[in-house]
Amino acid sequence: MHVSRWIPIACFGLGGLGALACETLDPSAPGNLVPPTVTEDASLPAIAMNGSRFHLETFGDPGNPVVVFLHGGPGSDYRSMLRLAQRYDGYSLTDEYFLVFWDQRGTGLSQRHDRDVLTVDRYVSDLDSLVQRYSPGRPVYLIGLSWGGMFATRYINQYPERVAGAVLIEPGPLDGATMERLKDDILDFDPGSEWVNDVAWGNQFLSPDDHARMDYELLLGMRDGQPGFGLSTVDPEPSWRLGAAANRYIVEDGQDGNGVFNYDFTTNLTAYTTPVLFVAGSLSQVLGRSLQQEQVLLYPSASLVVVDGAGHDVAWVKPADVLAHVRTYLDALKGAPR
Amino acid sequence: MTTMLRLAVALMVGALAVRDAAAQWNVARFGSARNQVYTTFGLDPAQVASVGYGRVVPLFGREWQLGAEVGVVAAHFDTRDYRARLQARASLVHWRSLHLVGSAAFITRGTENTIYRAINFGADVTGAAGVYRPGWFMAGEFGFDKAIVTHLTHSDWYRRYIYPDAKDGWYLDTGGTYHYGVTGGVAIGPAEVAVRAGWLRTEDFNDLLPPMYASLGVGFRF
Repeated sequence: MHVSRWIPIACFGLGGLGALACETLDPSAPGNLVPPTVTEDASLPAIAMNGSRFHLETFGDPGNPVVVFLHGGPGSDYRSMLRLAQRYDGYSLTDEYFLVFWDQRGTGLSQRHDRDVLTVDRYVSDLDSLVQRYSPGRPVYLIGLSWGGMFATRYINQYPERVAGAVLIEPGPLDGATMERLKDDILDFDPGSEWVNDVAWGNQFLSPDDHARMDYELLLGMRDGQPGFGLSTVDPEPSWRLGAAANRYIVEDGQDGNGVFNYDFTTNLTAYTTPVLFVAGSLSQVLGRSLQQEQVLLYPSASLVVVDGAGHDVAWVKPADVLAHVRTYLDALKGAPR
Repeated sequence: MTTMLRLAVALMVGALAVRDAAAQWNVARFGSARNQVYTTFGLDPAQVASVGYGRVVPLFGREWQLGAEVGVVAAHFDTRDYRARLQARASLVHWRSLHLVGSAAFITRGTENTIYRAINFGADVTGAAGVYRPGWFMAGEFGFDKAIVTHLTHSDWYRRYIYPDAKDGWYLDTGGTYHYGVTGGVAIGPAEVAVRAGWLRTEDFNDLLPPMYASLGVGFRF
């Protein structure tokens, strides 16, 4: 065989060996591909609760009524809700309320877990522990975004007496039948789309065999996988770190053995007579006005406001508008009999 | 230390056992013509279109098909997502028409997406066992594709909206994929049509998206 045939082979080999000679990084090590979690960085604000460790921040006077924020996903984090803690037109929720932002189990910068403790029931138990911790004996207000709105509804369905009021911003389907109807519109899983091929192609570079790599690769669908959400491209929602295992197993917990969504978070909503506020973005197609007009009817007393000029990321893109509606809603609840 | 040893062995296998990547062409036809050009299209693991050239040469007492192949992701013809393979393939053991075929490839691949730009060096080792006759073949295959070293450069988007302190650089031992399935083909004159299909799992045997691969190839010998 002629020597020249081995030249390209040698080049490939030398390239790889050259890389080995350089300082190399571990894809699974905390802080390399994704930020460390609270179990890996003790400087992060955190609490231990219910057998896990949660990334959490609070704002305001602890003596005030408590508002708990529930982020989207499942598997996202609270960073995209933080604008709701800021001051607009001279008003901040911290003037009257104690705000609790937290990353749900296995998401954001909270501790990672395996499948056995990533269930909706465990999530409800976590939220109840949080409520008892920050507002013992006194009902809280919930502000839930997307999955967080579903999560809030699931909690209200089980513990209606522990919730003083709820704002549901673009909540996803509150029952499995509706999710089945909309699931293909929620995630644009076109095999020819660039993001699907990016995910598949990326698997050759980084195997999703640990939380760091799983969380990292889940991001590939974050920007482009949901065109029906009308998300802003000039002011995108930020995130700390997605939780891939939580995303997968919480979703699967709402399905039967054949992958059909069969959950129902609405079975006891008739017990919750407190008014509920729904918020939708005018540019949101899948989880926007049309869906929420259906879902307000699932509560005995609920109303819908639509914020112009924003999509599913309305809480990030139009926080002042959303906050104005939240303030009006909370003001109306003050002194209202429960 | 163990990781370094595994990587060194993988690199040596890739460098020394150069041959054709996809265990896809009929070893019983190696004697019919020395050269082959081919094209493949399929889900492997994204939608990939490839072209390749192979030449059969005697080496170490066997007939080896040595070759090179380049492929790009066909969805939107994304040339940022590419793969190049140097590969070798030979029948290792045979009895009548039953062959145990071994193949190895040294691979470099690149990608650019929302969160990173990457180039990777890896190796694939695949074995196939089945019936290989001049007019057709059918075999089962099992292989492992190792991502040995990967250089990552994070995007501005990722740093701005997700993680500003993400580390750029060479990452060692970033992954690996098992692939197992069936392959078969028929010959029509100098042309050959071959198919492969099977399942994909990570090196820790976790699920992948997509969970399967499938490709169709057409080649000509001359």
